[in-house]
Amino acid sequence: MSQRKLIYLKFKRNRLAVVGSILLSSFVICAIFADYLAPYDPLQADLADNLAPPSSAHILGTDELGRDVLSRIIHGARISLRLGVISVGTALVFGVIIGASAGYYGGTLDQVTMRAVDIVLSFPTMLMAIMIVAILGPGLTNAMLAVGISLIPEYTRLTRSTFLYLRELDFVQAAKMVGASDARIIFRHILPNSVSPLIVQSTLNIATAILSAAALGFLGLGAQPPLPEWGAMLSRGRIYLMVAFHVTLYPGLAIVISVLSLNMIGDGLRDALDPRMT
Amino acid sequence: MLRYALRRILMTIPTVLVASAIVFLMLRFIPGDPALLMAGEDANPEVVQSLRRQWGLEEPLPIQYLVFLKNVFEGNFGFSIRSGLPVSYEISLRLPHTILLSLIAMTLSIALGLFVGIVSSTRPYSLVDNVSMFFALVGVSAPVFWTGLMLMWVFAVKLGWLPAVGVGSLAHLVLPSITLIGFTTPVLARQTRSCMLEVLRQDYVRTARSKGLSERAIVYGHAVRNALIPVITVAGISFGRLLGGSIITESVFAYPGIGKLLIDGIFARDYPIIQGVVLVYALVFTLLNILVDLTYVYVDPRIHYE
Repeated sequence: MSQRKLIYLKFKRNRLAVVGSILLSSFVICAIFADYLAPYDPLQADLADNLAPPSSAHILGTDELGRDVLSRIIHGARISLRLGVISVGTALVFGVIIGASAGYYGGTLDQVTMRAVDIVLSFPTMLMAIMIVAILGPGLTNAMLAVGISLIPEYTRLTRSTFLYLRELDFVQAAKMVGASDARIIFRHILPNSVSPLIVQSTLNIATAILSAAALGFLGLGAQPPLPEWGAMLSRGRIYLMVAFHVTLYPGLAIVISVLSLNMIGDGLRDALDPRMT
Repeated sequence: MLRYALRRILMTIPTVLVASAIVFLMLRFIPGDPALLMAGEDANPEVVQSLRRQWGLEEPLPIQYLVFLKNVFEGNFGFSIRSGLPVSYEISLRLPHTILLSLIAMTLSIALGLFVGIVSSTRPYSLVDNVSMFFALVGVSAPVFWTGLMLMWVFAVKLGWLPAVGVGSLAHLVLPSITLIGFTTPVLARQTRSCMLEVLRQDYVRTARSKGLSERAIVYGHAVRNALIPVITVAGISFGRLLGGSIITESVFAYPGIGKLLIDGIFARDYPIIQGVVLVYALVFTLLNILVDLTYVYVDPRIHYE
């Protein structure tokens, strides 16, 4: 049985991971087909019917401007998922390039890189993201950038330690002896073997990215109204907590479930890719 | 040990300096003129000019930075654009609140997280384990502002047992603390469990068991000690999570700490405040990390002080 098949079977046996996959697929479907799935226009205001509790007309009620909460949540899935994937994707690319160079070449490059990472890490991650948005100004793209930048150090460290370890292994030494170029060694030998921790990390990081972006949205520093970003929806609904808590409850639940599904999958992947567990 | 501690502190000074330079530079890159903001859009250009001179905004950038550093050493963080009061004063008013909240949350999180993690690891895949780890998983996935708001809704709005916002009594601390604890404990619990499981698999544990040592002695005498090292790393990382979470929690509960000061400052474009608070956070976080490193060295006998 191939290694990949083994990993797949191990993953499948993990019930939480499977549940997570199903949940995540639902979110992805919501994100892609939001226009068709949402019963109402997420931006359509109806002030006469605002803050309405859940009913047959509006399954999750309406928000402070009379917009359908369910539709906004479905469209919010698109925003959050996009946010997560793009910020993590950017962090991955930059982090891996920097970390790989530091880990493979070592020496001064390594020292300098690690110093830079230490400096960035002297700020707590959330604070770093807040700072970047404070400079660049609020907005969805800036939030994406901020979250992405705050994730780079983690990838750099991970890739660097993986490369430091793999670099010393026999097959790399052998390749060097045969006269393989650095590029060939890195891309053909080391990188393919460092993919598994990166996959696990990335899945978990998308979860973190969604949470961080939602936090920025909640603080008013991320997606701006009228965009139906989950965190921003919570922030606006908060004022009406006394009279209409459904505006805060449901977007929050959406965040919890989507992040939970990603965490379940990430945990499942980690366990499936772990060579020590049966 | 002391020499190592001093060396460690010395090593972080250049990092802190560069970090402060970053904070300084970042705010200078913001579009918009702080003097114009302060004086108002239609202010007399001469007034704006005098404000610029007063704040040293006319000087070249390196000079501004050095002035900034000198001021920081003297404890002068400038004056708040919004209130006109010294930034150090504004911070000193609120820092105790943040420290109190963070201390409570951190101690209880560590205690609870370690306890749950250890108990779970000693009964792997049991009901206790599965239930706690499931809750921990949900806890890690829930945004801190949402749990805060939900707690606020249940206990303050619906039941009226606890105050929703502000400070003043012990009761005011309860909801923010619980929110923060719910934010950091799950991470610690999960990590402790995984580290403990790793350790309990080791040969020396098997040896101890075959020697006839009681489970309790094994767990507390051998396993916990060895699992402590990676757990300390995670505790260190969760300090960062705690600080970030406290900024948001303070916003949710209108708790007058430096986190709320920071957010208010960002919206008011109050750069001196933003700078001051960010520096305080960075310094505190750096000190906490040094503490973690020193605990490491103390706990792990394999590491030699250089």
